[in-house]
This record gives sequence, structure tokens and C-alpha cells, in this order.
Amino acid sequence: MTCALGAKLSRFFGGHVACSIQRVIRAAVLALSFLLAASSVARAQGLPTTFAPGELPTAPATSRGVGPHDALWPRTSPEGALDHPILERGHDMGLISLGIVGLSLGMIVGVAMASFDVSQGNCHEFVSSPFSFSSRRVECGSAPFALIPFAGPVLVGSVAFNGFADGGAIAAGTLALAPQIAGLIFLLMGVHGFTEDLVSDPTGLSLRIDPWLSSSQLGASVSVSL
Amino acid sequence: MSRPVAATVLLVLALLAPGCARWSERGTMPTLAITLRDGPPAESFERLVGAARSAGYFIEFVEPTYGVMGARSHAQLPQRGGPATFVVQCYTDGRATLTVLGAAQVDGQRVRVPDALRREAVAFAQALEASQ
Repeated sequence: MTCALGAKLSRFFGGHVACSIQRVIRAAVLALSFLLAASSVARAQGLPTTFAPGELPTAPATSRGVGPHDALWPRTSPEGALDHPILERGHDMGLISLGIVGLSLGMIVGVAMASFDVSQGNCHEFVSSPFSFSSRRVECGSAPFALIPFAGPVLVGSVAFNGFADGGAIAAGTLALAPQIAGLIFLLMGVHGFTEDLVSDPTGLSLRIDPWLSSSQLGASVSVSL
Repeated sequence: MSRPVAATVLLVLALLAPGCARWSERGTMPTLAITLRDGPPAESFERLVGAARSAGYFIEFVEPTYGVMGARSHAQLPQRGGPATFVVQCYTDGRATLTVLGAAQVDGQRVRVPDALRREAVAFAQALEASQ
């Protein structure tokens, strides 16, 4: 059609004018086809297609007044969740108890050795006669050393104010050092360290401080909730 | 192995055994609960998100429709897989829960997380509750 119209116009107005009008018509047809193509693409993507349902579904109302904002929120929170969580710090009583037991064990061994020394005698006194050479137990006299921490059992077993120290007592007193050293290590670890436990704050106290600032005043509002 | 050496090894192990229990890097962590203030749920959720942002947390995802948001933790953890994420889920019964996503080990019914992450989670839960 454009060619026929162009030919008629060319015959009517002359070649130059008819050529310009033909260009304008071609541009208009091109623009129209672009518009049609663009609208068909938009429909294909479904972008402008909307519809309004008659009635939107609503969530059932609860004590907090559930509205459309939380219609898709889960209903009930898990029962095992910990309310008002706080971290409670404390000493590891297991380590402290173990340390006390170790120290006590060493002291008990020392006291037992001291008791045996007083009652039976830890030391030996050698008696010689023209016909025999024998020994008898005598008190070393080192029983009070048992009250000294750590070194007490060692001193009780090895120090002899009377006679000669028995080898067994020396060994027992030295071995009694081991639980005391271990106990001291456990005690230091327990006292200087700490443990943490995640518990629920029994008071449930919540403190909130909101500072505010105006042109001439500065303040803060404190709200406490239980 | 001679007897003195074996005895020494046993003594060292005995000394270290109680310490291992104390110095464990992981502790159990239950789900933490946050009590929401009475009022419009949308505002409660916005307060939670605002509190997380003001505490310096990077919000990884926010879904107000489902009442859930995720905040990236600050704790620097040696584990692979990147930082952990705190997931806050709101419920219509007036509570929200805080759980840790990533860097957690499930041990039976319990979830174990590193101590640093557990401390941060508790502080984060307290900050969220204070915002309500």
C-alpha cells in the first residue's frame, strides 16, 4: 500500500516531495510494529497481568492478635527453648575437690607414718652383744614433721633423731609427695580457671536504657521489665 | 616401654584427663528464647532486625513474612566453612528463638558449639530481648 501511495503521490507532487512522505510513512509503520512487538513480549512474561481475588485468607486470631503480618509465622515455639538466657560463671568444683583430695591424701599418709612412729617406731636401733647382733624398732622422734605440708611425709620417713631410718618409711614418705603435687596442680587449675553454664535467669529481669538527645537536653529513659 | 616410662606416661595422662574436660572448646547450647513485646508483630520483627543491625551484625537474610532472619556471627572460628549464622525465628505465641547455623555439632539430643560462639549467641539473644 505504501508503494502504491508513494507512486500516486510521486505523480501528484513530483519526485522529491513524494520521496519524503514515503520515508515518514515507513518510519511510522516501523514504530507501530515496534510497539506491537513490545506489548506482545510484556504479555508473554505475564508482567502486567493482575487480578484481585474476592477475599484473602486470614490467620486465626491469638492472644497477640495475629494479623496479616505474621500469618505465615510458625504458631508455637519449641518447649525446650531457654528463656532469658544468661551465662553463669563459676569454679570447677570437680578440679578443686580433686585437688583437696590429693593434698589430703599426702597429709594422711604423713600422719599415719607419724602415728606408726609414735606407736611402733619407724627407726631401727642395732644392739650387739658378744653372742648376737640384732635390731629393735625405736621411735624416730620426727612425728611433728607430719604437720608440714608437702615435705612432712618425707621428713617423717627420713629424719631420725633416734636410731636409723627405715628404708620402707623413706620410700612411703617420698611417694606421698605425688598425690600432694597432683592435688596442688588440680587446686591451682580449679581456682584460677572457671566454668560456664548456660542457664535461664531466674529473675527474668530485663533492663533497657534508651538515651535521647534534643537540641538543649540530654537524657535517658530506663525501663525495667520482668 | 620400661616400667618407669610407662608409669610416667600414665601419671601425665592422669594429670591431663580432668583438664581435658575443663578445657573443652565446645559446650552444649540449647535453643535460646526471646520474649517479644506485646504489640503488632511487624513492629516486633522490625525491632529485632534493628537491634541486630545496631549491634553491628551483617544481616544475611530477612523474611518478615515468615518471621525469620539470619545474622552473621562475629566469632572467628578455626573451623572451615565460614562464619556461623544466627537464625532468629519468630512465633505467633509471642516468642522468638535463636539457633546457630553452622559450626555446630549434633551430639545426640544436644547441640555443641564452640565456647566463643555460645557466648556471642547469649549476648546476641540478650540484645534482641532488650530491644523488645
